[in-house]
Amino acid sequence: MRRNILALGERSIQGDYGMVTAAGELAIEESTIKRLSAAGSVTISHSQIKKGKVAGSLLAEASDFQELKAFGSTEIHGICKGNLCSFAGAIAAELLECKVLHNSSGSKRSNLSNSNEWSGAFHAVTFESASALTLNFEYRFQNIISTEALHSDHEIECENFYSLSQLSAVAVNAEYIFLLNGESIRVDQVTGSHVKIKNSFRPDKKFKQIPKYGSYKGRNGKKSIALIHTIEADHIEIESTRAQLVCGEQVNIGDLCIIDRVEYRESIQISEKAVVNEVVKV
Amino acid sequence: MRREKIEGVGSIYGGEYESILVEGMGKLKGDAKVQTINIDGTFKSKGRIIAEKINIDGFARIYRDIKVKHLTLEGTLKLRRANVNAELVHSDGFLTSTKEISADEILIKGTCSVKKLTGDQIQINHQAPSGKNVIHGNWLIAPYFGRKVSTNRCLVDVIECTHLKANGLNAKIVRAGSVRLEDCRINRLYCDSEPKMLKNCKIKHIYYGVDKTELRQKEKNMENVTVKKILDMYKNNVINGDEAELMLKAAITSGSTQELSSQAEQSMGLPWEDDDKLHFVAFLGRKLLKKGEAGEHKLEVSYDGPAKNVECHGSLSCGDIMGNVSAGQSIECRDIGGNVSCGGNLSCKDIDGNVKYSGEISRKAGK
Amino acid sequence: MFITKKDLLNETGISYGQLYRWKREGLIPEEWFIKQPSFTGQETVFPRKQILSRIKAIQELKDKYSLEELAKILSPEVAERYFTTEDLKVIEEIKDNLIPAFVQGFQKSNFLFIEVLIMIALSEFMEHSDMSRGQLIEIVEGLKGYLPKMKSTGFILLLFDRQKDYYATIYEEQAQIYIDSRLNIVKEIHLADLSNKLKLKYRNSFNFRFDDEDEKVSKEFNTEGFEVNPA
Repeated sequence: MRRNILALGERSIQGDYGMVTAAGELAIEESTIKRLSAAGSVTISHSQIKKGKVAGSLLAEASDFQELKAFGSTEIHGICKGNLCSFAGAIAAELLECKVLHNSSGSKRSNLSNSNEWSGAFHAVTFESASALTLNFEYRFQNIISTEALHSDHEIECENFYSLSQLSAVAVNAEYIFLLNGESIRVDQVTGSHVKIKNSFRPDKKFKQIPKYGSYKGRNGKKSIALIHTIEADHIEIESTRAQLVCGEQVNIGDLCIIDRVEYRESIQISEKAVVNEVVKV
Repeated sequence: MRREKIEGVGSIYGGEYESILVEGMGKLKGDAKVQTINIDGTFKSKGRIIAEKINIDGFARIYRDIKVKHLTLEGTLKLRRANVNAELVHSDGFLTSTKEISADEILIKGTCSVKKLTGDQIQINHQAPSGKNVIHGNWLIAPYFGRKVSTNRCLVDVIECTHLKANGLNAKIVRAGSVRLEDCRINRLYCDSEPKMLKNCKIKHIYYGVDKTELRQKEKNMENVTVKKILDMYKNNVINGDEAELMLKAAITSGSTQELSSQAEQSMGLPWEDDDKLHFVAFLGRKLLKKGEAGEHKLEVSYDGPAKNVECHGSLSCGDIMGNVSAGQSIECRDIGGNVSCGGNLSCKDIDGNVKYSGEISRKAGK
Repeated sequence: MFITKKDLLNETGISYGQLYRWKREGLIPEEWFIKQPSFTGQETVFPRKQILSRIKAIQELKDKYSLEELAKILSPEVAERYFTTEDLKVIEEIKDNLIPAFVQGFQKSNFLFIEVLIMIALSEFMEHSDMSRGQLIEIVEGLKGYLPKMKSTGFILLLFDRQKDYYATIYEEQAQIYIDSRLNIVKEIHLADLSNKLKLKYRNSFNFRFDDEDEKVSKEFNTEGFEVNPA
């Protein structure tokens, strides 16, 4: 029989529950909970939680979450798994595996300098960053969708990479790369199979198939020019990009591009509103 | 030959001297030719100096070019808008310069932040102090010296020399014949022979074995061609003004993150606050000309309308001025509410304050 | 000797996408991407001999295995990859001297994750009991048919003995099971716990490694090449 619990103050529970609402200190051990809403400090170990909302500090150990939203500081010990996990605030994880990992924050437009502190190891099919973030933790993501400033001192590697806002990185290496030209984009090397740098974003079939938490509508970027040193990919389609070297099989140079040298193998298209100083077929 | 010695507070007007010794607070107001200069106290120079030897143990601020055979520094030297041309520069102290320091041999051991170092042999041996950065109030230091300062590393924008040996250097561009680096951060390194890197070096782009002047020329050419193409497109109405501006901005920044930020810094480094005042300024190339730097260029700005206080380094011609006026050359205007100081002729209507002028004064008829 | 990127692509017929995909998957080490000055400013070159033989090896692998299999071989994810006998040596929990016995028991040399878990469980159990090598192989033979069907690690391995003869049973975690009370249960192991421990401990150990000679690469996936010591 499932029980509902309302807890104020200090409380520790163990067992099978329906709805748990708590404020204060809550310790959950070896429990199955359908719905948890808690504020204060929460400790969860060896439990399954279907839907959880925690504000304050959360310490989770070896637990599974169907859906978890945490605001405040989170610490994860051992391996925790989840279907959808959304965090706002600092998080340190020994290893968090989930299908969709979401980085959210209350205040929009936060600076990178006061961006969320993430540390530890994260594995996810999709990582959505809706708040400024520096990628300096261990990660293995299939898809990355960034809608706020994203920075990395290392090469960013994944399968599908969508950046819809500010981006600064040494390199991006992904099967499919989409960069929305809006705020400043600075990358030394962009490499992969498909590279698109566009002034507007429309979710295509590929994007729609990616499992994700947020909903994304098409959006237009602001007028600006992406600064990239080298682009190397099989299929390249770029607009408003300043690059020293572009190498690809099929290359499409759109409006307002300034390219020092283009090397292509199969086909090339250059807009009349672009400057290309050297074109070589290799 | 005169010998000058300042033990209290004093000024030197310039001329030829055998020696200048400053132990208190000294100021040089004109150009000077000196055998030796020793500074133990504080010293400020607004004149050109030609000297055999300069020793600085105290604190020196130099605002005009120096030509010297031997420069040794153990105290603090702040060079602003002034070049140093020397045979030998030895620094164990604190050195900042917003222009170029050029010498056959440069040896830097202390803290330094310099825009450009050129020479034959350059050796930078910077030992970071143990413990934390000992500079407090860096936000004050940067505007005062005109450059960012760090005790942990030597900051130099550009180095050009034949042989470079460096330890603890942060540089944007290095062009050298041979280099030997340890614990250095460099954005672009151009050198003729293979660079020797001992440990802990981070170099973003290395170009060696390639003729560096040729490469630079190529870069420059490329930039020029690009700019021309963009302008052509604009001329032919292929792109509109906004688009052209956007592209030009991107074209002259060569894509490297670091260079961009330094450019942003430069625009931030204007010598006045964001003060909501109207500033007329002149640029030579991409460099902002400051007071007195226009040199042979004669600049004339005309402004029609009322103004509050006016400060002008050239000739001035304008309407009513409510506050004070000071101009390097002639002034032509209507009513002036405050004081006037003028380097040339003055022509105006009513003046409510005092007048200081060195040319002719003429008052326009009517009120 | 170096080869430029352009020449490499022309010589091997691979595309930019493939090159960078393999780099991402750790098949081509990052250190091989060497930057060198050139008349266009900068150019990437590779150590010629190494990169060519590596790409040849990758292309051969691609022919030999299906895409899905290849993904499993290459996956750094512990739970999704195939384990070779070389990989088993990395896992401390499996005693090196038992590997031949497992190879004999399973009759193969690429293993699924769940099979590795069983090996660890048995390996640990053997240390605290007097089970013989022969009995170990018998248990493996008795279980091996069921393992490929298990798609998760939510199972419990139960070991019991009857007059010094060991048997095993595997059942799903939620299931209730009732065992003949004459049987003496000696060990109950939750495979999920074991799996978690393993994933955490070895999450960075299994990036796919190549030996620099081609023969070794093929040997790693070759059953016949491995010596089997009967118990």
